[in-house]
Amino acid sequence: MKELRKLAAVALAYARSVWAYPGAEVLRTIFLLVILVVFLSLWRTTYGAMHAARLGGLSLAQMLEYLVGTEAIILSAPRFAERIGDDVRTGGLAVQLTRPVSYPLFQFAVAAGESWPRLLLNLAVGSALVALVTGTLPVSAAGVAAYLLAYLPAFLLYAALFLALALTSFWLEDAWAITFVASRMVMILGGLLVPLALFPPVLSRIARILPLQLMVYGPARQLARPFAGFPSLLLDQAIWLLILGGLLWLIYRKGVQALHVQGG
Amino acid sequence: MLAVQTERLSKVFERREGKRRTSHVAVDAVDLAVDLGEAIAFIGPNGAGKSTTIKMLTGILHPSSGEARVLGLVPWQSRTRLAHEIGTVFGQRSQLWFHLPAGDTLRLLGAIYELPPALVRQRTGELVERFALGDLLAVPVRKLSLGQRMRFEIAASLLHRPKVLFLDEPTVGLDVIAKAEVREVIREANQGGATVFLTSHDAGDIESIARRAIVIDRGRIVFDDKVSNLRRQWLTEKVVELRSEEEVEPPEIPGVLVEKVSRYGLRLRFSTQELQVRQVVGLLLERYPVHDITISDPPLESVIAAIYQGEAALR
Repeated sequence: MKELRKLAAVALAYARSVWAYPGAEVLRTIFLLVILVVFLSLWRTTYGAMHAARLGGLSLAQMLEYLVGTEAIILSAPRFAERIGDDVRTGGLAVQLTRPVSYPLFQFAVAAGESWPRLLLNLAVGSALVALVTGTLPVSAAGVAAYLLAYLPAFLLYAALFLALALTSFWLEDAWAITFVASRMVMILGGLLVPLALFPPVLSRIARILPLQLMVYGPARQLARPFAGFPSLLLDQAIWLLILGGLLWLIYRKGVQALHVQGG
Repeated sequence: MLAVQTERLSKVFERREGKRRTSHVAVDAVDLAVDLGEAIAFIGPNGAGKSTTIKMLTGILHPSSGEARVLGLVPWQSRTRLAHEIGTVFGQRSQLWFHLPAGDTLRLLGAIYELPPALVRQRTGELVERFALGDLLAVPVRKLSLGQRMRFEIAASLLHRPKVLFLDEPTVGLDVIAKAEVREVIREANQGGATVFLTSHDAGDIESIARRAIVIDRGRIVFDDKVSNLRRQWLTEKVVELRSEEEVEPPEIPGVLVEKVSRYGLRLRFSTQELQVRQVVGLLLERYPVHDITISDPPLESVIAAIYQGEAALR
């Protein structure tokens, strides 16, 4: 309980620090709007060319809302590699390790504090744009609730994977390249731009085996189809959370051992 | 119980250079005993083993051999427990959150150290009053001057009333006034009962904060005595830098070594055991139309080098 209170305080402090640079947040939001406007035009053309009212089971408005959901997740995703790389390179890790708080859990709390307010902002601004352009608000309260409920384990999965990769900085000093590749894999196989239902069959099968779609596609599809396949989504997320959590624990343990032996 | 105690504490780093494996002895059988409430300066040239020792004493590094106890705890076995009892300030690494107002960072540290909110408010009030930080609580850390930030760093390290303070270069980069403020703050913390374990290259820090100096070089303790003895034995030289309004010829004063001559400037060195400062300065003022003159101690590293050379000569 004490540990949770501590982590909540860290998350809250970092959530406040998100607004320390309002200009940067405005730029992020503008970037989201630009992406959505571009995809709005592309999907409009696609729906028109195919004379389809629905693609992959989604109307045009739902498709755009799906995009809002995926972009909101990706644009608010935590960036561990820079922070941990800095800690390792500058020796700031020494400061962190002399505090009575677990280093990986501290990083989780920081990520939650920074990501969650950004996600809510992105979701609100993106949905407003879709409503403005299409004239309807395709998202329901149930959709938002299902999205946010599925986002929580999705965030933990994303954080566990990318924290584990970023912790390789303990040996590599810079894990930027490895996390860059992984983030692109999440974008492609996680369903950032296109729902898995529209993937070619082979690619769709590969994507469904991997946990990446549980971080993006899983929650985003809840916006359009609230609570559809929800229990199995949560179960898959829980299983992968155990696997990636274990991987994270292993890498952290090995990294700290290396640090204990060879120094920061 | 001692604040810090080590017995033959050693750390050997194994490195791989291509196919070759090399080992480097960073800390070599160090024995330390620091009483509760003491203020010691742990000094030495770069690469002497200071940081490695501090990392072992704070539990970040495991030793290759030997033992250490800080407040009765083995640091690398009880790192989290020990963290509640010690405070650390690394001059070049901040423990504050740059984007948050300074007051918020104190509150956050209070939560991390599991202090009840009422106690955090009380301690913040005390520290703010003691370190004159009242006007700065609402200012984001990134907007504080270096001197203001260092005062906050030290206040932050004292928030949970640590029994031992590890200070690594707490005045690095500060101007004269800020240095004096930070030293005063550390002295007050020590007077309040905290054991101070100070690492610094600044002779001023050592003289104004510590009563005992421990010098480490190449991983070994080469001096462990009162700071006054360090000064008496080793800081017996002064350096005079003079800027003249006219071109200068080097002076010939017995006992004064001319280190550097430029067109309008001189750097001289002399022993205070042979000559008095006012004698030398008097002669220089008589001889040159002085535009500016500075009298300083030789760099601490040269004092430490002298100590090491003395040790080597004894071997």
